Amino acid sequence: MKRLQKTLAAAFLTLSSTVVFALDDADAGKAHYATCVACHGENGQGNRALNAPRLSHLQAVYVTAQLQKFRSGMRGGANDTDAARQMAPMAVTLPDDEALTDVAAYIASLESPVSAAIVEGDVTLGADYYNQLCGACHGAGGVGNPALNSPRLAGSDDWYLEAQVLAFRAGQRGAHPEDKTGRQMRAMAAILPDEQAIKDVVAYLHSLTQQD
Amino acid sequence: MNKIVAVVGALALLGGGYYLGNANQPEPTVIKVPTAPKAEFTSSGADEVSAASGKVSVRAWETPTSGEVIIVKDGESIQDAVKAAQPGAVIKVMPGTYKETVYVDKDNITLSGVIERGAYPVMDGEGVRNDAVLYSGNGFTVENLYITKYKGNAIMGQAGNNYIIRNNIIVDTGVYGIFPQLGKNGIVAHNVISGIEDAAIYVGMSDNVDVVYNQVFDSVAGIEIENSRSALVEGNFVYNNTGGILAFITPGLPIKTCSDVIIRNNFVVDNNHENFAIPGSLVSNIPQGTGMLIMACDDVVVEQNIITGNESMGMLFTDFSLAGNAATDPDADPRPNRPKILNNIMRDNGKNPAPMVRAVLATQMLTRGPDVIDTVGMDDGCILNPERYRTFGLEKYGDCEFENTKTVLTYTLPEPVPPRVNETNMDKGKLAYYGVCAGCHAYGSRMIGPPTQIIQALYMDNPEGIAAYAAAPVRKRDDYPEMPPQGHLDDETRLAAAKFMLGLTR
Repeated sequence: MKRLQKTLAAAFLTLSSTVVFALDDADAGKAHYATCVACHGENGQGNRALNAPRLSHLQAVYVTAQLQKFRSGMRGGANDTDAARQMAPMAVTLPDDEALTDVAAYIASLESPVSAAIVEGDVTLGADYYNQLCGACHGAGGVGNPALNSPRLAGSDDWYLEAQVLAFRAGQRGAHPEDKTGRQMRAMAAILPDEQAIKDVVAYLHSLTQQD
Repeated sequence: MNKIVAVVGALALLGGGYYLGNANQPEPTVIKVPTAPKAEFTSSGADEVSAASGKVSVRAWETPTSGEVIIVKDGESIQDAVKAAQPGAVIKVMPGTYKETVYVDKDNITLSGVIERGAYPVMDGEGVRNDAVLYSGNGFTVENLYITKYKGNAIMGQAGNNYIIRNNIIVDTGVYGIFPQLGKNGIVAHNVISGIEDAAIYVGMSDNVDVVYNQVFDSVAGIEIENSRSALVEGNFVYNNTGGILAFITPGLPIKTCSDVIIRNNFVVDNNHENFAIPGSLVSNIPQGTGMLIMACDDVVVEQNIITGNESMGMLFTDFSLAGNAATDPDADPRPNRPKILNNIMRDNGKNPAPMVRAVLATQMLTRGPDVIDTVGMDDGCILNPERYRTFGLEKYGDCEFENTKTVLTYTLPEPVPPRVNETNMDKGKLAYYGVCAGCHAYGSRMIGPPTQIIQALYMDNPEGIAAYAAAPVRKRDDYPEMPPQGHLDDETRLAAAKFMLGLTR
């Protein structure tokens, strides 16, 4: 009996320390996010004028992975877009790997409105391209698929998605030899027949969130 | 003043109405009395058959046997019998329940069920196994089996030539019922198939095939002739599918053509089943209520079928746009050519068109679906007695030069053909990709599995990764079916197929 009580007490302690740890996570993440607010906004809503995309819809695992890429030089190197090169030194200000996961968890916990549509495209045709070429990894409805390292796309700024596909096609993103997932996406980005097709897909993805 | 305007307006309306009334008047029916017999039908496929035969021989061949007979009883394993068998063996399967996948990679095996007072040998996939019977040997017969509850295929040929698939009962076996892939010279006859979420009978990338006397119902696609040449579809009873009989090119498959298909003497009735295909797959685009669908397939003859009660339309000729504008293939002609519509019975079609068909009809101020619709507006087609039917888009069709195809008794060849692997430019990897992988993976468009292009992007220079995944796949995608394990192919074959897959460019 005494033994059982001990076990229960131990279990309770473990449980409560987990909770405390989780709270620490969020607090720490919030503190680290202070650096990000200036461009990405208090609620992770993004700011187009500063080329800073919306973040709050993303899964934490994806945010962490991208921050790691920015820190290691896989993203934001000399041949990348201006915006990506601005982001790289910001990612470096995070002290360590734990800070990355903390801030990513905080970003994923934020809520912000979806930005207005800017890119004009044919939603029906875009849905068709998406179903044929993109959905196998990014999932039906653009919800993302962590098993395939594929981020959520529904909820992203349309202007940002368009810019990223163009960057992939131009070799400004996904060209680093160690950026395996970036190289995968670069290969797929090249398959869309033309720039209008990119707009179509982006318009389709944006249409998925209009009810939100 | 107002009165004058009104009168002028009324006259204008009257004149307009008179003009419109006349413009819509159909051409008067021409009564024709033949003065001379029409020419005989010829096709490139038929020439090959008659050159090879020399005498009348209609599906008279059998899989060669050696005299070896192996009996499999209830409680035993069919696969064990296949392992023990030598080429030429007959494996007799007694009534009972067999919960297994059988893979036959030996030549000239006959897998034959024994039916006793209505009791069949039952192959039961229990909703967990992917395939009931897979074969890749040269020369194969499978008959008299009752196959049910598999997730992928009841019977799939993987590059096996000279096959006979007959007298089987197939109920709810997932994606395909009978699926000979990359087979030359085959017979699919007297099977009863229902409840399939893609095609009940799917002849894929094949040549010289007769699909005859089958009963096919309650499936998304009844009979599908896809990227194949010289196929005879005759005497089948095809009802209550989403689409009855289809002949088409799937963009992105390694064999790019479809031609010389004769569809005759079939009953294509009430194919109005709700489309329950996997969303996003090619066949999910088939409009509910389609009797026949010809997409991009050339030289299709439609003769003496009874096509009734199909609520969207009797027959649809169309191009790749049906498969979605994103599905393209620079090496395949997206349009059908030279359709030949001989005499058919078409009644009662188009009473309740599916929404996408309704939208096309609306552009012509029509609400009822026609017996025959050609969305391409081909100028090299022909039709006999067009005045008998309600048609749409057939303005440029001429009169057919022949009345029947009785010169073609069969498209099968009288003698067995050599195995695929002996073909020039055929290696292990290519054969496996063509015969196995391409059953579900097209190059740049979505079939059952993700397109090859996506797999290339994910694996790039890592064929070992593909080969390992294929042996023991794990599900990664909610909206695609789980990939069936390909462990029956040896390591070397899987790696060779993976390398071929990564090197493919179209």
